[in-house]
Amino acid sequence: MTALRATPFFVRIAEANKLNEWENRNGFTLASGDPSEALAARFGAVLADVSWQARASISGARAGEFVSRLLTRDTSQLRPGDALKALWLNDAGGVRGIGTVARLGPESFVLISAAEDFGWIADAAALYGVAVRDVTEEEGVLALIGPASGKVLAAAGLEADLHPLALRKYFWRGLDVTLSRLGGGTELWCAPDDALIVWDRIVKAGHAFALCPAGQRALDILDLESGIVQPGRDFAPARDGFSPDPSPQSLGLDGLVDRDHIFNGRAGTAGPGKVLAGILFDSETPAPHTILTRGGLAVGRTLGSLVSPALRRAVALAVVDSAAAAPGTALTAGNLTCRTTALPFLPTPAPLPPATEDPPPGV
Amino acid sequence: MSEVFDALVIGGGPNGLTAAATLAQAGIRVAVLETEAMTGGACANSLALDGFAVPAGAQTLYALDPRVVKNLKLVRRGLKFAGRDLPRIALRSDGNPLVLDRDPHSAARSISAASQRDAERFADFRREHFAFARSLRALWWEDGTFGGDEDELRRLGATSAVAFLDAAFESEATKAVFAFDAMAGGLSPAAAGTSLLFAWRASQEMCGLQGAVAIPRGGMAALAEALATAAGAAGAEIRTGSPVARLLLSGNTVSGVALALGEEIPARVVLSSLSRRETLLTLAPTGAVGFAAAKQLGRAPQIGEAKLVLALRAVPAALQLAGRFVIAERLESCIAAHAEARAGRLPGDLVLEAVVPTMFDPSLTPSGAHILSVLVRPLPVSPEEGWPRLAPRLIENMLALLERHAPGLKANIAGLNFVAPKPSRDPLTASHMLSSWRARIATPIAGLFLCGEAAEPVPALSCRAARIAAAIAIAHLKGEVQ
Repeated sequence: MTALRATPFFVRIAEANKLNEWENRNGFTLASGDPSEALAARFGAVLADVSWQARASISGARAGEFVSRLLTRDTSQLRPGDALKALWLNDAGGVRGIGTVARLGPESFVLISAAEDFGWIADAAALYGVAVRDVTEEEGVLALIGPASGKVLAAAGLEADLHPLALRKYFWRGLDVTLSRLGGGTELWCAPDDALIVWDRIVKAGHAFALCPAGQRALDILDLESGIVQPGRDFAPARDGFSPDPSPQSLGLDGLVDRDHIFNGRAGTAGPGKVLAGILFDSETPAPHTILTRGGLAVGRTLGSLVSPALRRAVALAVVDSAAAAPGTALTAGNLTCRTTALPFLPTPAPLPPATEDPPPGV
Repeated sequence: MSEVFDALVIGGGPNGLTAAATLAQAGIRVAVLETEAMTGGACANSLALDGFAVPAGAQTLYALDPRVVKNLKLVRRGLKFAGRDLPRIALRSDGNPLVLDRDPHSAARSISAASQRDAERFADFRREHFAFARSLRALWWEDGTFGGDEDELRRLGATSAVAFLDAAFESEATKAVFAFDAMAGGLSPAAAGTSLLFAWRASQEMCGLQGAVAIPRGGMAALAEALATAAGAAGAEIRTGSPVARLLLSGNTVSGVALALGEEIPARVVLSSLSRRETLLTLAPTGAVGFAAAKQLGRAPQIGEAKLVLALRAVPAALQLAGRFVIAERLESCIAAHAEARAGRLPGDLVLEAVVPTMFDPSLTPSGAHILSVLVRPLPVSPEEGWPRLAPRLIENMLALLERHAPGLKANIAGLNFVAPKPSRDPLTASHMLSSWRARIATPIAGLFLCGEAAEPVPALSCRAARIAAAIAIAHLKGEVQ
């Protein structure tokens, strides 16, 4: 068994991990934290270590062609510094992964995902003579989440004028860093050796905005509240090259599949799909993959579920028949009663635009 | 290019010609694209030998589809047979050959020298085996489903050739007669499902005789010529010297081919008589076949067979019997030989199949010379030291083995030529033998079909895959539900 790896921020994470609860993400040891930190992200700002997310560098003369064939959305028009979210499927259309791909240059991409699939991607890339490298340990990545995150960055001397799904390089007071907005907040990428300096600068700048470190539990909550499906938590990715399960439709991920685009596994993605919906529970959380019924008939099943501190109730992602997707539809999950709601449960805690120092009109 | 084609066939070998002739007969505008200057593929007389030429591929016919012969009127177009039912003759080092011919009494008499019990059993074994093999024709002759004894088929699908022969016979000599056939397709005779190779072979029919082995008059080239005539007569255009460089795709549907010289020929369907690997990895655009499939196809075959042809001034006495000779001492040693070949080495024990086609058809050579054509299995496809260095050693071993069984052979050699194992072939699996024709013929690319050996249950010169692929392509062109 391989030992758990430490992220470049481990020393600071260990200091901040007051509860001393740890968990394993992709082979990295990380602080679990407390669910209340998700609440902090909705009012102020939190700082979380996301260095564990698998990052694959894809480069070569035919990298553009390969990435376009790999992903379910057309990346050919993607400009350097831009990113998009897509799936990759096996030959039969089973979902192997879900991730964000950013174009770094004409012949270079980086694919970020919560679950690694380097072997598959590298084997496929070899057909194109394209190199795939696991660069997860070559950079530390922090996520700064919350409405105050823009102000924190500004206070730290980083003008954060990024659009969602964009990625830019900055020279920041002697350090080379990359800022991106690929997930819920703003990510700050840096060399492992600079990690502690970056952490300390951000924490110092965030002092005035009640910035607090957040663990992985809080990130999970924010993700699920935003209606984001994650491999592992919400579904078991296809690991066989020719198994059609789980299909994008069965996970309600049709929105990430571009019907006119030619990609690997496209033939398996035809047909009507299910709808991704949010489920609000009146009691405790259901077991994962609980069948949802209405009037005794199965209409779908839950994916991941947890207690949302912001909503103060148990919530779950679910894939349901479109007939049961209307908000307010009463359903049963085992012996629990619940009802459908529209996604996201709550808006993503995006940084407030720097210009709006005053409250926006109407607030 | 003024002419417009509905269908293109890649490869002008017997399979490509059969597919083109079948398509053209149905009124499809079709062109055959052949790399070489002449059609015929492995059947063409392309291997120089002492002033004449012989084919580089198959040396006997044992699986030619009777429906192709009938539909394309091949007999009328000149396909005649010089040898119709060649008995198996196992040459033994003790000097007493085992002759298994169609007459059960004479076969039993020959076997009784090795084992009385095997001799008594042989007639029953063949009757039962042939009866079961006939029931498999629904699966192996047509795009249909098997309606026979499912349990027996499941049993064979899990039985190795060695276990099958062990159950049928007791003497090593009798089992060794089947050693060559047990290693078709490069599988180990100890691998599960290899007993199907016998059933497949026994289900074939040549000249109206089940399980017969035949030699066409004029050699294999005569078959290719008859097929080319049939294709031409049906209206297919045959273009030689036209190597295909790549397939053209629109989305995931084939839209034509591009020739190596740059010309692009549009077509709605393309049939390839090349191997699955060559078709989908080399000709199709990268990734079109699917990432997992490409990885699977990327595995090259490890075990193959080679061909040695000798021009002889006179045929040694031991080879003057009319039949196909098998030289194999023990079936068990084939398993070790297979393992050695798999490791990239030349096996210590070789299994040979030899025929002297000039015994049946003296017109094959000028001036009364004889041809000895020998296939040898199992061999590494990509040996560590490379075939140019390994071939002389193999030839030396083969000649020593032949000389031992047929004294006087070496002194009569006038010329020789050698064909190393082909790396392009697809590796055979037991499940491939039982999958449907459609699964073997269709590809992940719409409108692209395989019509060569790659689509046969067992690699052999049969032309059946070509006939069925043409039928599937016609249905595809007519827009019928697949």
